[in-house]
Amino acid sequence: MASAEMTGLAPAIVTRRDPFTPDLYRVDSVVAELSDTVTLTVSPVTGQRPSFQPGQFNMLYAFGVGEVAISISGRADAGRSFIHTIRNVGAASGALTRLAPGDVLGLRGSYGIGWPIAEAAGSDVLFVAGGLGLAPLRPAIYHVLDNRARYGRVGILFGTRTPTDILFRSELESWRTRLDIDVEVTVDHADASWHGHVGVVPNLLAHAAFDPRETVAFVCGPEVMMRFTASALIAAGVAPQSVILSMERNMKCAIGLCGHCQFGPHFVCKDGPVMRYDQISEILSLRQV
Amino acid sequence: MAAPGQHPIVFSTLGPGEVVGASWLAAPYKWMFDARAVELTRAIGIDAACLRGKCDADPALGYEMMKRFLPIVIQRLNATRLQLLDVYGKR
Repeated sequence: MASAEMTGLAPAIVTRRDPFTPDLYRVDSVVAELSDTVTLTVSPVTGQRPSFQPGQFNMLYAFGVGEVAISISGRADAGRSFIHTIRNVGAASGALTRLAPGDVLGLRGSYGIGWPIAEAAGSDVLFVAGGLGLAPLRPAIYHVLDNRARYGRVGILFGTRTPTDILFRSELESWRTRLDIDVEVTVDHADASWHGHVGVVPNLLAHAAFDPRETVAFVCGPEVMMRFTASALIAAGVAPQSVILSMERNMKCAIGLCGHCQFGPHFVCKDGPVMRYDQISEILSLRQV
Repeated sequence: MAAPGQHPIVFSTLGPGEVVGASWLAAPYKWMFDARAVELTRAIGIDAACLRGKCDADPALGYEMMKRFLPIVIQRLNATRLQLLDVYGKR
């Protein structure tokens, strides 16, 4: 083999490991949230987990099945664990939901741009979540509640399909007992045994106390729900640049190389998943991007 | 709304200042759904036939009523469509 001195080429300096090689994590606990949704607490088999910003995601690998992007749903300061809330919607996510304590999975991350919660200090903050969209918002909610004095009025508006589909129900009930935040929950469909609100999430805005000129709204849920919610927020007077969405696309590499998650000129994995509404509103309504 | 022999289905919750129904506005002027107060509620009822008569007699009043009620009807139509989309279901 020719040496670098002989060829005149500098030897390759390997300072970074392969970004596609996952780290091994062990499942510490599994909490069944809904009939098809679980929350996994996972810790690295060796070493410490990397730090993350609320709103970021990890690539979770179910060995022999596949890899899928899952938002982090736990506290940013939760020791050496990651917490992920996963819904069984396909082969890889289904395999992840069937993991048991002690099982090992692969994990790459954390990736993406998180919620700009520090920049929202001093403003009223609205969290608007639909369905599983509450999971990526939960770390940001923890941050705001942990630093409550830095923010103005805080509201959490949550919508889901039926009363049996309410994610993090006990936590929502706990937050609702606080006197310094507004928590409203609505469902799309209910029978007469449900005494809560029935209707779509944007309708909850009328029940929330906030100054639209001084409000930052963090919105996460199905894309159609986010479009309706963003329109309602702007109609209420919230500035488009203060409406922040978390986009979801099929991610593969998670580092802006493969293009699977391309969204117009953006790669959701590296330019998002958290994006300002005013920067994507033009392409958000296009049928094909 | 209740179908015969089945439990009622709740499809909307209303709060202070909201309009319960707009069926009086367009023929055949029939209630399609009912409403139930779940807490102390003070509501205003209007004689729909009388109000329609006044709207017919005074187009400015009629147009004003349309301008106020049509957005509510459209908003509810959009909300109903969003509910029908079942956006939280698996796709």
